Amino acid sequence: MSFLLGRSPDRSPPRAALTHTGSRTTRILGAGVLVGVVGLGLCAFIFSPPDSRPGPEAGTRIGQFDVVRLMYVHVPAAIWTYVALGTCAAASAVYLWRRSTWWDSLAHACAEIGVVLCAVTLLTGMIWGRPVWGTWWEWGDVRLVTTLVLFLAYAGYLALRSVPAAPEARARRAAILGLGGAVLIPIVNRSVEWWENRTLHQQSTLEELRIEDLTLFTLVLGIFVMGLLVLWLVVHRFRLAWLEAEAESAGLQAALAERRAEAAEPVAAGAGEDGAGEGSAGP
Amino acid sequence: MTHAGYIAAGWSISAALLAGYAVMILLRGRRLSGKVPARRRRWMTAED
Repeated sequence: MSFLLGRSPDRSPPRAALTHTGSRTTRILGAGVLVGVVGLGLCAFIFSPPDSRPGPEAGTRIGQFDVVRLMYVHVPAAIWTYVALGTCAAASAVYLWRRSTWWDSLAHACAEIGVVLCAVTLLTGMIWGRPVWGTWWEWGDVRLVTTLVLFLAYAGYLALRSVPAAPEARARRAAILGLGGAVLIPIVNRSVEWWENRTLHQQSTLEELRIEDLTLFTLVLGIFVMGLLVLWLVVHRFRLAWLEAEAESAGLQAALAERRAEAAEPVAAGAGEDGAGEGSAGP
Repeated sequence: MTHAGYIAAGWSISAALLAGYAVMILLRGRRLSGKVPARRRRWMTAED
């Protein structure tokens, strides 16, 4: 995990001229993401076939046709939403135990990235649903509604973090919410099996390998590329959270020093007057 | 290609959201880095 923050400054001197959250690790990751996105684009739009199977009647074909190409974004985004928000919950639990800024920063980073990915999941799902199901949104669909609740819960987590409070109190409240929100993750993930009569969603196609060849390869490639992107985002966002904590701490120290100086001024002035009095009254 | 508009919209919105978020993180990091002493930014090392 040391790649998140890099080496200790005691072990190698800092380069003060650089002012960003990047490093060699993130540059390598970023290059991997760019190459992966190009490969994913080629597989998704050129090499992989549309979803089309012979229909029940002779001469007809059924399937998602080209709309299946949206799955190469939607499914990876959904999977990494679970991972990011699950990591947020785990980091929140460790924070409540260890009370370390490191774990709080990790939880914050993962929650924000999870919310962005959840938004991507919801939007691509809606766009996919319109041509396939004939509707943008279905309030009776348990998977859609629970995913929306998950999104709102962690959007609430981010809102809670933005409420002005002492850093420790804010981190503790956020950790409790981050940990509690994790209850929703298995509910969203298993909802299509637990309430199979109340969803338009199909069962998981990945677990039962009901897809094959290039479609499966492209889906797995999408999951891998999205994973690299999430890792890149987590490292940068973690460092940003670290900077925010450092800047807040520095600002607090400066404000305290200023307040102490203000409080000391009348005493010093009073002492000066006393000193002058003593001097004038000396032998 | 069938449903090209939906596919283009889905990919474009996803790319815009993720790229926009990545750029926002980088810009906020640059802005905040100037306010924090270099010694407190451990990833700013000669070897990293």
